[in-house]
Amino acid sequence: MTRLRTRTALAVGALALFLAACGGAASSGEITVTNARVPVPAGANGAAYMTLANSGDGADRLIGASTNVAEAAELHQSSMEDGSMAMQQVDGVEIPGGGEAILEPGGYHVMLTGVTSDLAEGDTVDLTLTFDNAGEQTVSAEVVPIGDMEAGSEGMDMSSEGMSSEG
Amino acid sequence: MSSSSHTRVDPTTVAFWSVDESHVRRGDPPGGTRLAAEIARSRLSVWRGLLVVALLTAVSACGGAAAPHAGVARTGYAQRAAAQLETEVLPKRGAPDEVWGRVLDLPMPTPDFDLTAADRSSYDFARDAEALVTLVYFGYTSCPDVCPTHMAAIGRALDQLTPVQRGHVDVLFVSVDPTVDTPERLRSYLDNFAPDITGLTGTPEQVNRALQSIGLPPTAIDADVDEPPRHPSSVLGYTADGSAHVAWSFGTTPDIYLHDLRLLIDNGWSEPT
Repeated sequence: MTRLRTRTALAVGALALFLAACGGAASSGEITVTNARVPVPAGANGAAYMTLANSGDGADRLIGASTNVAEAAELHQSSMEDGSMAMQQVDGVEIPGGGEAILEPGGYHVMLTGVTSDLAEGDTVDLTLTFDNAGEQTVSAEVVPIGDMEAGSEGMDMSSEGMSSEG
Repeated sequence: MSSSSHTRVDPTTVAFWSVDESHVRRGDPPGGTRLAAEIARSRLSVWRGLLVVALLTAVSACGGAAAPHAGVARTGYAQRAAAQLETEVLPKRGAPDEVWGRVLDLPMPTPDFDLTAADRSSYDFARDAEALVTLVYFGYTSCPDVCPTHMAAIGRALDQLTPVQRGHVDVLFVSVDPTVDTPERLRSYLDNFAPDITGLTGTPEQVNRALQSIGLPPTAIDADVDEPPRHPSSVLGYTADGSAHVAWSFGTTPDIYLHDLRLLIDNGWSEPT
């Protein structure tokens, strides 16, 4: 889940700049949160995804989250083992120094347990994230249609890698 | 994807003696005589060949050999077929007349389902999936991440089919958290994605039997289990021949589902060339 590839880092950097220009990026300490989103429709439980970029030298960890649109917000990881998917709560998500952590479908997510609000596309959800070193920061996650998650970085990676190069 | 080991031989019959499917040529009819001849040509001993013929004779005398869910023979084959799913193969956009999802070398056998649908009617796979393209997914409504991603992609693909095409496809969402997922809860969850996705539930034992009938581990849970249930990450595509030749891994996009659904609905399953 943790990517250090230069190209990705560059892309994220560019995206961060773009979003910062739009006022969409929040920065606290050395962690920059971009692409925070909550897909709908969801069931009783929802998920928030985002990219966490750490511009500092030392590693940091996302260790908690809270929101007022769900009974609880927990850090979870979906993982595949032997063809089956499992989801488990994790203590934290590591963000390496100078690197990033991507919370995305099929991997890490902030699970919104017992969503209490009727979330609609275009709404925003305030999400308070707690980091080991960078402290707390509140970001505004956009409520997006669920299929649009493929527009996230991983989806693009996957489809381009999945495509044959005319072979 | 299109290796030479696709088989048309009734998989359950093959499972009797664990013949390597690569001995069986593509396009063979499911008849036992031809199969026996194939086996004789392979390097099996004469005695085993004789045993096989005797078994075939005995089974066909009972009239049970042709049914893909003849229970006695399924276990070994189904488990090997399910084992393919342990490795994720991403879909690949290819030629218009090719399936873009993963083509399974060993097609998954017909599952044994007798579960309850949202309208509380009973759903019997052998009866209700007949002549349809039937997508099968095991998930649960509290799943915030993987399940809605799959269902949203499928729902978007369904929306782009013609009404006639849509009448020839069914999507089954089988709950692995069946004591929590009541028929009503499944219905309201699935209505988020498409009103014609069929939600199925039952007792954990019933769902586990359904999973095991196609070689998958029995991961359906009771309400008192704290951990979220494990579930297969792929969606299986059954065609009118009663087998799933295609699996779509997590991350399959709506356009890929749409392409494959159209192909399977319009043409049925045919072996890749």
